[in-house]
Amino acid sequence: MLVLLLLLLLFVGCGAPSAMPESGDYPPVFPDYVGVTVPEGMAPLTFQMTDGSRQRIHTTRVGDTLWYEVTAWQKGARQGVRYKPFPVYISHDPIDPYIAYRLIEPGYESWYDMGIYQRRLSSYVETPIVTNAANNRGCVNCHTFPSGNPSQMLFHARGAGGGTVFIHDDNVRLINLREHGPLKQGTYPTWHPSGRYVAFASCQTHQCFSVADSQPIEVYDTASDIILMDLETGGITAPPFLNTAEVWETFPSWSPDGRTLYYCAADSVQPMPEARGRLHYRLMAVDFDPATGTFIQETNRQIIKTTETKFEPSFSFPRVSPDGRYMLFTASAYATFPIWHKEADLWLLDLADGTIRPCDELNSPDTESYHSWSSNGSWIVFSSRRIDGRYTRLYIAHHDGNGHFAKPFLLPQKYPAHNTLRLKSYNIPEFVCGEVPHHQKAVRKLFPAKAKGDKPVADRQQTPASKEWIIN
Amino acid sequence: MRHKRFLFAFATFAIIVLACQLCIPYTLMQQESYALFLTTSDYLRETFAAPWPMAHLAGNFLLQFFHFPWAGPLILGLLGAMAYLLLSLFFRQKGILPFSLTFTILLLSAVIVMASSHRVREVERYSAVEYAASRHDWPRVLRRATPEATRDDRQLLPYALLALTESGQLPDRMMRYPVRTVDDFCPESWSDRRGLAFKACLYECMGIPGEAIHNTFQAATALPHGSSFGTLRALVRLNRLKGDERLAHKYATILSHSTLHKGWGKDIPLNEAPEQSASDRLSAILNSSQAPLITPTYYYNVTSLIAHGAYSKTLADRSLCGLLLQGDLVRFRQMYALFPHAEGEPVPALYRDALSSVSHLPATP
Repeated sequence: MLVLLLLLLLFVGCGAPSAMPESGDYPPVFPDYVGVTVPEGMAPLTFQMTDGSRQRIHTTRVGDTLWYEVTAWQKGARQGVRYKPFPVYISHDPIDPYIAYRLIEPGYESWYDMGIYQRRLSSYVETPIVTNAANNRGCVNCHTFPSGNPSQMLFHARGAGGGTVFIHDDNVRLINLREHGPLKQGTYPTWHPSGRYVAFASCQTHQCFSVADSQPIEVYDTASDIILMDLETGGITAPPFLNTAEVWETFPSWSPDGRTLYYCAADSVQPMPEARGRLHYRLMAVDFDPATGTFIQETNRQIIKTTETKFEPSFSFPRVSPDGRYMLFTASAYATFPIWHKEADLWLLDLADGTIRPCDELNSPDTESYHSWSSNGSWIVFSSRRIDGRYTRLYIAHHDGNGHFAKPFLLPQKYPAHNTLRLKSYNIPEFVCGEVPHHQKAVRKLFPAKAKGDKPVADRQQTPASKEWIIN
Repeated sequence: MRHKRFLFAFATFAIIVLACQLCIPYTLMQQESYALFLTTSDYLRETFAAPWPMAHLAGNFLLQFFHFPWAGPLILGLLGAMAYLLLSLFFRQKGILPFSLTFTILLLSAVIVMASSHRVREVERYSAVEYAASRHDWPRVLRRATPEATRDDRQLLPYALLALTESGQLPDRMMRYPVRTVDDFCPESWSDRRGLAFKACLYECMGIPGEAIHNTFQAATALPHGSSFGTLRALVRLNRLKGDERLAHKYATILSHSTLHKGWGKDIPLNEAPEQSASDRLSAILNSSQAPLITPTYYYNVTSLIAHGAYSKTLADRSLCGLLLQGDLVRFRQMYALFPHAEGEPVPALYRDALSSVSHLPATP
């Protein structure tokens, strides 16, 4: 009798499992990784249900496609829902192993912590390259590497005693550009492919605040020119035609062969900031002779004359693909600092035939701004504010070599919630071909602890041989 | 011996609790709003990159509870009693009574110094006013920031003027306060954390949440981690006020990674970005290029808002009282005529006197 009872209980308890409800839709996951293309060897994509449901993920690889089958249980529910499996495509085009970026609060005038960090793409490991603890909480920005070379970089370290820090292996130098040649400050550096020259914009940058909710901040220049530094001679030149008061030039960017400098230029408007709505930057190009280090003024030209848009766009951040065929740039309604412009989008110009288009496959209703190409041109990384409208996050997209991009994916994190919990924005993402050494100690030595009456102007160098200050 | 030790420990606890609660309750409560304790990876990374990470963590963990009245004094009392017990164990060979007496005398001296210190009273009064203003409790602000108190401490004056404005008493009572210039409403030189916190409160009251967020951010950059409980709560509130639920949800989610804000963010819907066509986004941004600018000069902002067609009773009072402080009676009359007035509404004595003093002058267009 007892045995029969137990058997009965067993049958009742283990009755045929009720069929799991299935959904014909892809699961609503954050980040949205449905149908994205990732490089082989990328850190695993982690995601969560947007409504916070518990989830179980089953992954299957079929050829070059990873299929994610997600079953989700809402809080308190015993019955889950099995969603339609979604694909993630794997590309065999290699990607540079690291991305360098700055982390900073998306604030207004000041900050607490900021730093230049690097992220290994095959894992979730993020390490600092240099933070502003090295320069007495001043600003560190505009990091750039010649052709993604991790052993050579420069960045600006602002604040008392600041300047531009040049790093080549263990040699770390601080140069105040304002004290050389044309006596101009440098920003938005671009390293010539030969490694010999660096072009900078030299801007007088301000910001203003408005009551408009759609755009509380506008960052603008009241003057900007382009200067060129020759690292072999240490000389800095300011070509007169790129240094006029009537035209504001900014965002220099070299072509991969180093024979053309692309930049943005706008006719100056007054008064600023009231007239900022009339400030439109156009894309320009000028030929360059690397042997003599001179620009050929006669070749100075506007490269996009008209666009099929209802408005006159303002262009920024021109970046040419490594094969020299395409230029990716940012277009906004006006002015020069697109990160605070919700309408800012990425556009692509085919330099071979002059066609131009907004990259709808990359853009979102929120801001898209800074971007860079991987060293083989197969990938781009760009910054976007699409998650919350304020905190910039990094997206990577595959480029097929013919001017088309796959759906971009958010830089994966170990825990997807990290994208929400991080109180910092990612700035200036740049691909790097290897791990950048930790430069904190060497840079700290360039910035003695704050002292009253400090004279911060001389160039300084810290070499591993002497470990001493050398005043140039 | 043990009995005496616990008696002295209890006395220590009681003295500290009473002294803190009687002398510095708001100073302690405000400490919570400047502190931050989270279990996020970035917070922990920043904490362990700084000196004394465990002390920092423990301190900030305890500071969370200072949010509640009495909690700060009770925690400090317990810490004091524990310190006494530990020290008494250390000194037990030298006799408990001499040590206990010395400890008690030192403690009482500290309490007397705290109770009699003008600076401590000043900080406490400011903290109380700041606390009340952050809750828009204007009667309480005015009870603390009296005309006499603002003469003694001019830092209270902007809060007093804000409370007068928000409670509709500005034209009636402004002149009882030691007001000298329009700058007293919002000193341009106030760029430290406290000044920026005031500006955030002011611009929130003026209906410009974006500028309140700006000042809240700026105030936070002076704090370790660049944020705090008070900052995050303000950002949740201000972003909801602005209609930006996405950002409000983000800040609330971050707060929910602390001990006392576990439920935060659950009532805020996690909406997708508002649907907006490309042309709508473009029009919004092009319109924004025409929007009035916010400058560090408070009165410029007031006049700029009015010039762009903004109107409210409080904005009108700010503008009119500002003109009176500048001695510009002619413009005062022009502006007064521009603003709508409810029928039967009594004209404040200050305005009446100003209008009558220019009544003999011909009206100008």
